[in-house]
Amino acid sequence: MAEARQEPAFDEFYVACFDRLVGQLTLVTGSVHEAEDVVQEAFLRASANWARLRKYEVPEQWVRRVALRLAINHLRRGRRRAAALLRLGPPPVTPPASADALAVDAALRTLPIRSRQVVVLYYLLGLSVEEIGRELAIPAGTVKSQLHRARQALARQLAEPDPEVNHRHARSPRTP
Amino acid sequence: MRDLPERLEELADAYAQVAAPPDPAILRRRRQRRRRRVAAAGSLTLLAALLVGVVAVRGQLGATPGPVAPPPTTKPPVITGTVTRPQEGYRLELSAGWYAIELSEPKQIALEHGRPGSRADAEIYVRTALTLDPRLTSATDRKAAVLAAGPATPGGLETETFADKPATKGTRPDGRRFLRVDVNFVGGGIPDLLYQIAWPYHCAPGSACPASTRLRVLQFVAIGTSRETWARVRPMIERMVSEVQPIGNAVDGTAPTHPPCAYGRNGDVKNPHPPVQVTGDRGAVLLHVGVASVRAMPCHFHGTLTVRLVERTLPTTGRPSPLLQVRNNGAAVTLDGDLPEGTAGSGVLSATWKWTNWCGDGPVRAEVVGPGGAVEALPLRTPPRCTDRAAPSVLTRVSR
Repeated sequence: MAEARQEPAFDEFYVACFDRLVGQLTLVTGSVHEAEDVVQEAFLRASANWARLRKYEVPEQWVRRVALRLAINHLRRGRRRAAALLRLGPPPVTPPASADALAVDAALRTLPIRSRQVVVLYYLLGLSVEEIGRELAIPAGTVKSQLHRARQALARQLAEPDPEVNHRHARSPRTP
Repeated sequence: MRDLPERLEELADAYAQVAAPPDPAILRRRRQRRRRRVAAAGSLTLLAALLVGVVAVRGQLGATPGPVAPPPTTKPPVITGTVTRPQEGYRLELSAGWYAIELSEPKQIALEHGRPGSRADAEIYVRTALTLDPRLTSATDRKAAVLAAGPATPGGLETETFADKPATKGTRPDGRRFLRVDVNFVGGGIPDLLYQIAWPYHCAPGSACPASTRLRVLQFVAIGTSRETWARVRPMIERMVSEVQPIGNAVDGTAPTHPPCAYGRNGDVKNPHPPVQVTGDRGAVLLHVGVASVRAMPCHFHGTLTVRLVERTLPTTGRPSPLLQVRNNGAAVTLDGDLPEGTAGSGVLSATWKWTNWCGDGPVRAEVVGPGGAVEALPLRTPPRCTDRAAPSVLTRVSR
């Protein structure tokens, strides 16, 4: 009964945040379908804890963090499969974005999975190096070197002369 | 050039637009499944405890217990023995110790070596694809396919070659050529190989057959966990590549197999067109819907596609979002036909609508409802501009 009473509020929250989270997680997973799966699963867990989460200032951050962990665990489990499917899987969905953004998308896909995760966590989700280290269970130094290599690779792909420019523009970290 | 965070943000927004619409009913179903699983696990624990008690008592009496049913699972069924895939045109006898599982990727299966449920020591991903590799296809077939696909053809020709990778050529006992390519997809000392076998698709005699059908290959991506296990399983992989049998549409002179196309996510078909186009002055938005077989996956499509223009953000209880006030909104088209290989030319069924004069407020969404109620979002970024507030907004079918 308690769940039925909570349902409408939870549904509103779910409908309002679902697309946005799938968009963010797609950049981590490299697949819209996989992102939908992990976001659905994260919302499923959120629904079980909704009585507590609804009191949070931004419950979306909790869901994103769970989805992110699910995505990372999924990729970690299926590393070999992911590596093969990134190359030979079904063609990726082309999003309605500018040529610049699509170029970044294509460049991201050439990065190793771990580098892609680090780039998305740092530049899109605004996590700090330390937070990324905790999320991915790797030392902060490794995160920094991954970021450095990823920036260089992206700069080469995108023919940008100064990869550090992007670094300076990174948004300040948030605490989910 | 804008900076990386901004571009990533734009990409995330764009991907958000092509995501399937949120559906609270899906969450409810998943929750129910989980509850059933938990309940079943609880029942099994109780059953196991009872059985232990029974075994203990019977042991004391010198009797043996009866068989115990396996636990229920939501995982895809494990296939052992023979794998038969009519659409991809192959039948495969699995070697001892191998089993197959269905994957979420369209029409791809994974073969794993080891005990189901435990970590596999080798994996093979099997699917069909198109190739322009000169080692497997003739110059005539490649030229015909590329010319047919052409830049004007929606969808183009989806192919990939590995001409830059070291490879060895071979011929199977039935005369089909194959390539063994050292792809090194995984890296880190993990052994992997790609096998491609010429597997051309044969259309029904007398029917129009897209040129790309001759470029089909059957593809095995084999990945080991270590060099030791790889040495043990590789002969089995080679045997499967050598002995996989062509059936149905992979055999010349037989009627092609055109099972009904599955629609929706992970289905057999996709929309081959750029789904949304906006005229330069934003006076009209063109919504393209259609179906073409996903890569080398022939099937027969019969179904109705409905175009819906709806409000984008609404609290919902799982019911469809309300339609916008647009004349002909919810218009439908029934498409019917065989979809052979590829996404070009005669392998496409489609329809186009034009949406004009939207003077409403708030974010909107365009979606296509297909057979079985599957909903796919169309990546609509902006609605058509308001040209006449006194006139209705209209959705019009446009003939191609």
